Amino acid sequence: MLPISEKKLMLTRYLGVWCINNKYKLIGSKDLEAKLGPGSFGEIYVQVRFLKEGMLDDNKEPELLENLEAVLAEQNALIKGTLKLNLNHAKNLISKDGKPGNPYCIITAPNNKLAKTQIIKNTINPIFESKRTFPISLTKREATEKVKFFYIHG
Amino acid sequence: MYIQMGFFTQEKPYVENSEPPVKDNLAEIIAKQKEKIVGTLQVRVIHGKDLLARDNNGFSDPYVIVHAPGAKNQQCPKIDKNLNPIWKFMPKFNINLPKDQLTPLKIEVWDDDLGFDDLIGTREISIQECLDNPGMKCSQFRKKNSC
Repeated sequence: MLPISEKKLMLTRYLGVWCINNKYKLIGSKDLEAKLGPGSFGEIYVQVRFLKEGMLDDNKEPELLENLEAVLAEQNALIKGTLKLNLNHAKNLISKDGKPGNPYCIITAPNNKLAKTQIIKNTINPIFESKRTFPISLTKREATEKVKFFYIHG
Repeated sequence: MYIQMGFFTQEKPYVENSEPPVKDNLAEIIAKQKEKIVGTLQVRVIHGKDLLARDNNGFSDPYVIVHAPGAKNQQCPKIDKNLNPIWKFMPKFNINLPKDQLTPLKIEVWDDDLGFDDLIGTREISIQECLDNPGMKCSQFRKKNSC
């Protein structure tokens, strides 16, 4: 049996609970919100608890819903490698005047690497058979960039 | 308006001190609202995400001001050129207020500038839930010595 004083202590020992553990969208000023639309101000992640007088402060960190540090580190990590690209042919490259042109293609890959194929003369169905290799070094965020093809009638 | 009414006849006369009980005791409710809440409000502003750029360089230099009811505002240091700042700002506020004066927590995010700072956005957060339900009983206190 515990002494009465200790029993009493047990009954009054309450642990603080982080009742609020949420991400909140920020609300901007009225004129900016009218210009940019709601939801353009970003969000904040907030945790709140109230320790009533006499309650126990466990000094423990509450668990995080989202670890932004880790998310950003992942987004900023470099992806390195080679992008191989075979451009075989193009079909029905109709020119403005309806006549066959002298087409060639410019390829841009992420990291702004430019490559130009040879010119194939007097055709609307050029066979390029161009093989290119692009060294790539980008972050995950930048990796959304697209490979672009520009066909030009020479 | 709260009204009680009765009709009495000779057969069913009014009996002294037979008033019905008061359902909604306003005096008690007001007393409850005036009841003081005493304790510490612990706030953690962890991070901001995709904040609005307020500077011409496409960034902001964001910092946070937290307003708690009946306490002095607290402000954290700014983080330069960042739209995803990790502040980990953990202010504590001593609360000693009647229940009816416990307004929501207000958090402001500002962009630090040389002249006037620009407001990025604000948010009010009700702390009612925290006040009504501050803790849980430490049931494992007997098993372990701490929780």
